Amino acid sequence: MPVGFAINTVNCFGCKTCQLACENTHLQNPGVFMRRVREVNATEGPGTVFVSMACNHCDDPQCLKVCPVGAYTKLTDGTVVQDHEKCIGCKSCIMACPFHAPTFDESEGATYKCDGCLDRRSAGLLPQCVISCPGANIQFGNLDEVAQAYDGAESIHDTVATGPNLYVKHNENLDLDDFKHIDGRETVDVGSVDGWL
Amino acid sequence: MISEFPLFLFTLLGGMSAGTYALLAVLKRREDGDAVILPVVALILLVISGFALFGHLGRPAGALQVMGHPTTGIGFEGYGSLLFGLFVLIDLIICAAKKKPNHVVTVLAGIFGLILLVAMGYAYYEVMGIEQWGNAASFAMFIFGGLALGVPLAAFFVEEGYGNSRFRLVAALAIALGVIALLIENGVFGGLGLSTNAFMIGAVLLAIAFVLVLVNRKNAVWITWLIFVLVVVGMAIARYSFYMI
Repeated sequence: MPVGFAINTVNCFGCKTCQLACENTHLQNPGVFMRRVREVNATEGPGTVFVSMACNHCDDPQCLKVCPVGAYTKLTDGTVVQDHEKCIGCKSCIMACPFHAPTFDESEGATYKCDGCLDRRSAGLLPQCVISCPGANIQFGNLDEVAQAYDGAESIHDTVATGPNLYVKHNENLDLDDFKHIDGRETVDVGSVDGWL
Repeated sequence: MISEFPLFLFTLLGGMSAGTYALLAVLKRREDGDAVILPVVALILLVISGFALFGHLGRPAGALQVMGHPTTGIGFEGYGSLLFGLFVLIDLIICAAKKKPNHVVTVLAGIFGLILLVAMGYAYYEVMGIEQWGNAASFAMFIFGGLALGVPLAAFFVEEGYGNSRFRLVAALAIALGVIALLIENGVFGGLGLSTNAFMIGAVLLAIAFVLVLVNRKNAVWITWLIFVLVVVGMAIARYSFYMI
């Protein structure tokens, strides 16, 4: 069973601690985020839903497929990792990823991508975003385990062709197809998210 | 300015260079003028477009690593550019030595020019994360669009230019394909709720060029230049919009 994240959007109130914790742990340059909290706005219905998302370590990762220098590999546990030294900054991975998960560092001219805190996991620790969330709304691990982390969490695996390994807890009227619209934008408008809140 | 301006330059100038040779592969090139002008112009366009491609990279110094991965979009474009450029260079050498072009070399350059246009289309077709790019319409945009861009340049290097009925037919067909490509993109972008104005403007300018190609039987210089401007400006407007992501 591959690894992946689970998120609880029902209890997330958009504090972005996960985003900043990830940045502070891995990157030196401000504004370069491997995890981002997207604001999903309903054009019909009330309010904003916050979706914290990094790399979903897809079964068929497009970043790996399109990278012209072979900087990406998929480990046996399913983690998609980037050899940062190989990156030439072409941004092909960002454009090919349905969620635009890789992030471009303008000052360095290269791209970074979440590896699920591989270094921390090697040391027996959890990813930084997981331990930093004040509401415990992010989990990481084998999918069969994280699937149980939140009651009623559903996989978005079959909503996008790349097979993202992400479980989401949401209110019953949330259409998982809305995840197709979560791309590089910080704010996403979807048709209707009645029942999200 | 669009963030992917280097790609805009690469596909516009490189596409024009490749499209010109792809068209000339099925035509008879002029032998009365200075034969080296065509490969020189084509190489200049290709070199500018190549440098533009470097500008797309955050770390240009690592560009050669791309050649190790020819099945990726950028790798395919890199090989396409190199092989097409090689045959244009051979054409230049032959034209300089013999004072006239060799048809076999022109055909080979045309074939590799067409391959470069296919590579450009493939590079966008595989971009799943940008819905308006990652579909078959991108092939039409760059293959048909490249052929249309080749028309106004090829007109200067064909016997009698638009006065040549065979060229007029080929040119009209290529520009018509360009119009179709822009209308297809118009449908794709419109279907996703994105602006389609630029594609319609481009299609109208190319449609005017199409009519001018058919009426320019006497190869009037001013009409030839007007066609040049209409096709390049029309396609540039459409491509600029294509890259507005």
